[in-house]
Amino acid sequence: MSLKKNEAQGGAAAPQEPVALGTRQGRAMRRARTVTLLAVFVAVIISLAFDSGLGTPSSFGIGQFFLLCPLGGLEALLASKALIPVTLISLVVVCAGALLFGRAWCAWGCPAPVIRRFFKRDPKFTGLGSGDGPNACSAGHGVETGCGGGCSGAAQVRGLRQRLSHTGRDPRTWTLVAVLVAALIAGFPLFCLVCPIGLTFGTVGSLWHLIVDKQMTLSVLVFPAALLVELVLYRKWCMNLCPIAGLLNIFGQAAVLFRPRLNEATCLRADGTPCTVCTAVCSERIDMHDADGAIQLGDCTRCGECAKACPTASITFAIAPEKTK
Amino acid sequence: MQKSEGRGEAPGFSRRTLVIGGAAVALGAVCGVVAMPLAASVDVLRPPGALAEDEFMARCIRCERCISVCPTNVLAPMPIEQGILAVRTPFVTFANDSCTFCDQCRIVCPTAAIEAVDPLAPQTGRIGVAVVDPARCVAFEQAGTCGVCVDACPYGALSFDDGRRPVVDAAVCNGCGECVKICPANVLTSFSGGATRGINVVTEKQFAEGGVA
Repeated sequence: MSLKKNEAQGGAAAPQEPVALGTRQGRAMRRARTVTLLAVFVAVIISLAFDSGLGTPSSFGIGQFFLLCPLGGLEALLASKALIPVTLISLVVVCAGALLFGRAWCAWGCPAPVIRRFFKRDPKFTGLGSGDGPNACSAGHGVETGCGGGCSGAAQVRGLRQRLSHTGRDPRTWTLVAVLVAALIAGFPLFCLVCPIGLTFGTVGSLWHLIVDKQMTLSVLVFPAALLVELVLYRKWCMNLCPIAGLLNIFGQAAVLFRPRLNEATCLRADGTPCTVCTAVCSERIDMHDADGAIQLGDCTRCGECAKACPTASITFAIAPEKTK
Repeated sequence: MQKSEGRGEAPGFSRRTLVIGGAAVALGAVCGVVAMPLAASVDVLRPPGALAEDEFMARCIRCERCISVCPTNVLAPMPIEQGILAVRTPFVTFANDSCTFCDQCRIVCPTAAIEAVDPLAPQTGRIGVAVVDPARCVAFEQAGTCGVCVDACPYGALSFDDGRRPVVDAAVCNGCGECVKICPANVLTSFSGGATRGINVVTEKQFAEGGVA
């Protein structure tokens, strides 16, 4: 422990060159995510090999107890213009999960970030937006998150308005709208054709059918090629386009479990050092120090990179929600 | 990037939001209208009990769960050569095995795109209809040489005609594919370049149009 503290102070001395310190928890989360994703791929292959019907992340389960992709499910409901009971039940369960853990799927289940990292094509951090200093906008519009002090109705309405505005500014919200409108009009789930998750497991499946069933098809080439265009050539798919992220973001605003917590006492920003390491490593570019940090945290994917990278180990994840001060 | 641009704005919906929202709805509508006529674009054998093609396409989210659960592996994902819109949806192929109507694909489908089907009541729903191909069937080449499909049919839908050639009773056939699986025509004629079988299961539409796959 004392060694860790010393390292932390070393980081404080040279904030512009972040040392790889972070917390043990952050490193453990990176490992756990890798293991989880590997388990998903193994499960898909086991499912194909032993006809167990575990399925793919688009829909997985045992027998008639299954979960399905919330976007695919919504698209199917809109496209078929029917209230399909089994789909509705699964959707309710998935949405309840999203209400608790927000976008955790994006870091723990989705293969897209790993594919992008493999090609070293993560979007570059270009500094905080609109050139404002770390605390510049805190004086402007302070944010009431929940019922901190006097729980006035007006404050709640204002918080809700800010959340809505945050969601409205996110381009992924509008991709989601476009995808749902397209499914409704086309009469079938159009987005499933280009979904990176579908394409990833479509590639796995087509490779399987090529090797095991000798099914010769161009799918084994076209799927990975499309995937590379979406994730590697256009590296900001997750940040700018993904409608699944758009859908989960809406639930994410209410999801308070397993969010990162900032220890403001040890954070370098406490003494005015303009450290932005946590924002730079964040796939969502969340700035927890921002005035609307709590609202930005609605987009958190629970990946733990901020905890892993923080030079003073000031960020921790805990399952219980943070008490509002 | 657009996210951070917006941070300086006052909360509430701006004109920019309305423009982007309108554009998104328009883009989605255009994509939908373009794709709409192509929804039921393929005519292939679907899993037993699959809904009508347009309704099936509306519900299938291409999760491939039915394909992975199929115990006889007669379900396969649609290859991209069949057209991009139906890609990864399940279709039936009897090259290696036949359908046992085990109902597993219906049970695992997350969007109920497959309904229960009674193999003994083909008129209420079936995979397709078996059709003998006189140009390929060995019994048509030389009468009395082959009849394995007639013996194999579990539902008694196949019988011999006067010349001991197989005949399908389309009212009894449910398209299980047992006859296709066992047909030796592709093997027996492989030296002369033949690769197709003497009996094939075709879709209802192909059957109505004359029964050639």
